[in-house]
Amino acid sequence: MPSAVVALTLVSALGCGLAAGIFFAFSTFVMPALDRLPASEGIAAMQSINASAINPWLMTALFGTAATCIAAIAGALADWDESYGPYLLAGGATYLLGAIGVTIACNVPRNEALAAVDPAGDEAIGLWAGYVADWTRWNHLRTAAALIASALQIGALHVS
Amino acid sequence: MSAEPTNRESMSSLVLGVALVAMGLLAGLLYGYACSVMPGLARVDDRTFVDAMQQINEAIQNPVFFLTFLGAPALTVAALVIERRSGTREAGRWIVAALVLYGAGFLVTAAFNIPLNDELMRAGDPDRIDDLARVRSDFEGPWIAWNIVRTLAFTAAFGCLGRALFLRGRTRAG
Repeated sequence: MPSAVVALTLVSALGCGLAAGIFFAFSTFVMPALDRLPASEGIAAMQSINASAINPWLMTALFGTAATCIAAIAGALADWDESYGPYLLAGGATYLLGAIGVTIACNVPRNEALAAVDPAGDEAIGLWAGYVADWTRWNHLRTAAALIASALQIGALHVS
Repeated sequence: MSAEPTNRESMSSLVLGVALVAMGLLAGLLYGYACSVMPGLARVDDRTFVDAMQQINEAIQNPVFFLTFLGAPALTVAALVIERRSGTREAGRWIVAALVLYGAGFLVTAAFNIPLNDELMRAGDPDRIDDLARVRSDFEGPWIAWNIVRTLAFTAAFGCLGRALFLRGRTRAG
């Protein structure tokens, strides 16, 4: 593996692993905890978490990793005869579709709907139970996708 | 060494690979507090903050979390034992470095984050706390600072395991 591709793959695997861990935290304890709060508090906390998500640390972990995955895929396609190619392609595609794609298509629209309601209002309480169930289900998928992507990229390093 | 992996080499890499994934999950989980959960909760009122952190501290005590938190070092130790028997000395050194860094993160958790969590739980039901602002301020700043320290330690451990796996692969191919 050319050293630039090694570096890209290591950074991608690290980024996918961190992203998986971030999603894992929400799936395994953050959402269950918020679900136990009085609805108005749970909604306020989640609205605030969503509003503060646009920060350089989280955005770099999620979208910086997407960029290195794309670059790693390009590296794989450039040397397609090498044994690591399929691992990099599958790993990058899994992250881009299963983590980033699901975030944009499934989690963000739900966050936007939640952001629009007043936490103390009746409408909010009705929305909250459905939000927790659906958002968390999609989040499980993101967790699995990022984890599998990290494992495939680690596999690419190993077979290189 | 042969370019075709033996069964033992494949097994050893598999253990190291699974250790790596588990360590990544753990590092990312703590990173998630640092870049998502805590910045989010920073903006909520004192009662919601204390209530949410108390619930999070209870909810985190679940089998999946403990499996990750204790599974990552257990797999890393297993990878080290296998590496010592059949692998390269250089890869072994990176696995040792990962264990030391995990140990540092574990100590920070035990010495600082868990006592702060315990103190927050002892404050009791948020409805019956007289000075919510003080309970919050005693917890929030120090907990966040120590969480960043342990996140760095676990992330560095993750990086060391990645390096070790790469060295294994390169040795085998070479």
